[in-house]
Amino acid sequence: FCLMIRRPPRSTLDRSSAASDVYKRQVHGDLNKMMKEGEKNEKVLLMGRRFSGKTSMRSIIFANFHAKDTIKFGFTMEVQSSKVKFLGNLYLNLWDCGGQDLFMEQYFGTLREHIFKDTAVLIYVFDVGSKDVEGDMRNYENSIKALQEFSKGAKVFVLVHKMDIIGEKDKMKVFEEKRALITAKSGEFKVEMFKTSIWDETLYQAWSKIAHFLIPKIDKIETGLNELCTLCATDELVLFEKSTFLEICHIEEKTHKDPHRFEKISNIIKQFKLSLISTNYQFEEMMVKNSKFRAYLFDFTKSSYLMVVISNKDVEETALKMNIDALKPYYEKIISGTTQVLSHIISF
Amino acid sequence: INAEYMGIQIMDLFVLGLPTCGKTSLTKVVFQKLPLHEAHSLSSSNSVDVIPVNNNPYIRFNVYDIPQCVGLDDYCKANPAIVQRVGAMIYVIDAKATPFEKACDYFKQCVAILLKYIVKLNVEVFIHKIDGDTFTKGDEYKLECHKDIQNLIKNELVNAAIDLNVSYYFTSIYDHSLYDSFGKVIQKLWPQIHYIVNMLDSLITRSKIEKAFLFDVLSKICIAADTTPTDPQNYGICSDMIDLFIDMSFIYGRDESEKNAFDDESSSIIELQSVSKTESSNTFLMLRQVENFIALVCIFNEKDLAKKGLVNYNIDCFKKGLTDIFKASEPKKQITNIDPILQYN
Repeated sequence: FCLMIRRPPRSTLDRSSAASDVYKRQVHGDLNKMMKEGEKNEKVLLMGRRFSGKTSMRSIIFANFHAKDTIKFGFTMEVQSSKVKFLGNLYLNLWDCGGQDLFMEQYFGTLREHIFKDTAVLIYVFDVGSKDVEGDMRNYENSIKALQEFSKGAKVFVLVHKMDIIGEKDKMKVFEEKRALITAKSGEFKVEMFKTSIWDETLYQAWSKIAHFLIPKIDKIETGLNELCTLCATDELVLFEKSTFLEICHIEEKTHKDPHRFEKISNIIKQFKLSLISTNYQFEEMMVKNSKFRAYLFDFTKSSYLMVVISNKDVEETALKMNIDALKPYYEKIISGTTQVLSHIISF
Repeated sequence: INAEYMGIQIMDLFVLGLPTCGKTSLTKVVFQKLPLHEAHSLSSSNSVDVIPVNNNPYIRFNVYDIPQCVGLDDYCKANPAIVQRVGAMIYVIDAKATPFEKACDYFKQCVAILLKYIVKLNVEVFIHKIDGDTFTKGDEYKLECHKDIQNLIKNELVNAAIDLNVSYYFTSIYDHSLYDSFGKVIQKLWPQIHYIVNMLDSLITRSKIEKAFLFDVLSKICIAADTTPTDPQNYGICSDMIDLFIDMSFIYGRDESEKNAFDDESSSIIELQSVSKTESSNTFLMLRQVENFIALVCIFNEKDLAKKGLVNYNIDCFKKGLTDIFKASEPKKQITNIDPILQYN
């Protein structure tokens, strides 16, 4: 699902902005045709300077790439737009904007309105090892200004990426320094910042929060799951999205020491699924136990997995399975219901 | 002194090779869980590194990473007790560092030195760093390397009048080949292997299991497998399942003070759907702890899993058998009726 937005031919650029508008409308017309009734479409801008890691990140999360394979990527040619299905009827229109300086000039210049209009989320990526901090901040400031002009209501997430090159003890310090710099240039937007690396679970934590923000009426899913949790006497219930394995929501009956366990689990299961790709097998369900706990991972609705963690030895596995099977159609309705909205048309 | 008679397990490994061929990274990745992206930033070793492997009280051995700068001859002379316990020499050759003449020359030197001190030595050659574009595009380059190295080594050994069987393995830290190769090397040295393989064979026939492996969960080395032909794909899946299992257990299955989440009742079942059109039933992977840090991983077909209780009972019997075999092979501490000079101290 890769739709490349082509650069308007030199001739149209030279003539006038109206001519390039017509060109853009033609190209965008294709996108409109792809949307059906009842789908909710959210435009997500992925921006940042060249080699900050944007394409690697989205390939790992959405396209089942292994972290070590992303080293082979070259630079992204202008804007790569992909439509990603997420949880039922929610579609993310992910615009991966190539970060070469030449392209970025265009984003702030001729393509300004086209890029920044109707954006729901801007994800800005900083390479923590970059030597040109001034240039990075200038680009960020320009992006914020353009976003302010065309999509005032957008949410901004900033990812301080490639944190694996910083030593453990310096991580917080470096992150806080960046936070100070970035908040100063963020204008009126309340920015949420994360430190990430493709080599550990921090990547999943950041994207999980982004996905969480994009799912409307998520509290409805949570109330539903809460009931299920008490009904089945479980310690914990976690809902994961099927293809990306990002955590959508969780119910915690028994407090657990590790607040980062969900992204760790996302990472763990994703790695296993990746290793199955070259075989003729597909992951279905899983049970893990030892003397202290039992964890089940069930194929729940069409677009989600449910993980159930139990430490109570009295809970019978068959009874649990029957309960969950019986409730699947009910949750299917809740989950697809929360993302159903009248079709959303991108206007010029 | 016949060490085997005295009950000492001769399973230690010497890892040798030219500088930067990858000895330290491969030993650390397998036995010390070094993260892959840190493997490139290791500095050159300049002294012998000993990695003891003793997760299970019955399977204990040491891995010696010996860089070229430490003279092998001097090292062996200075440490006779260590050399006595060495069962195999692993020679690592960097497949990307052509030509191989230098590597094979040093190989001959190492073999000649070690044969002075050790009577029975398994010689294993790891053709390492089989990753990257040149190797993934097809097998021709791999086979070419193998042929080159094999011929060079054969010539070197003939010239030195050494008659020895050399085994070759292709390895890379980025996939299962490294663990698979280590597994094969260890299996050749393990005296109890035949009994255990027999037990595995009878287990799978009686429980209708397709394939069974015995893994050391910490290093993910396969220490035994039944005698049916192994599909490398299946081996890979089982190995990945262990990763999944250990990571999940680590998160939920332990109290704060404990470091170990792998206990007596550790088990896991993963259901996989077959994507190929000929198979309609699902495949199950079952993992069960059978000893400290040793897990049995079985592959079943869906229709055969109906008798789960029977399978679990059979596995319990296997577990008991395994413990018996291990206990029987404990080194004998007391030796009577033997000349005091020969007593092991």
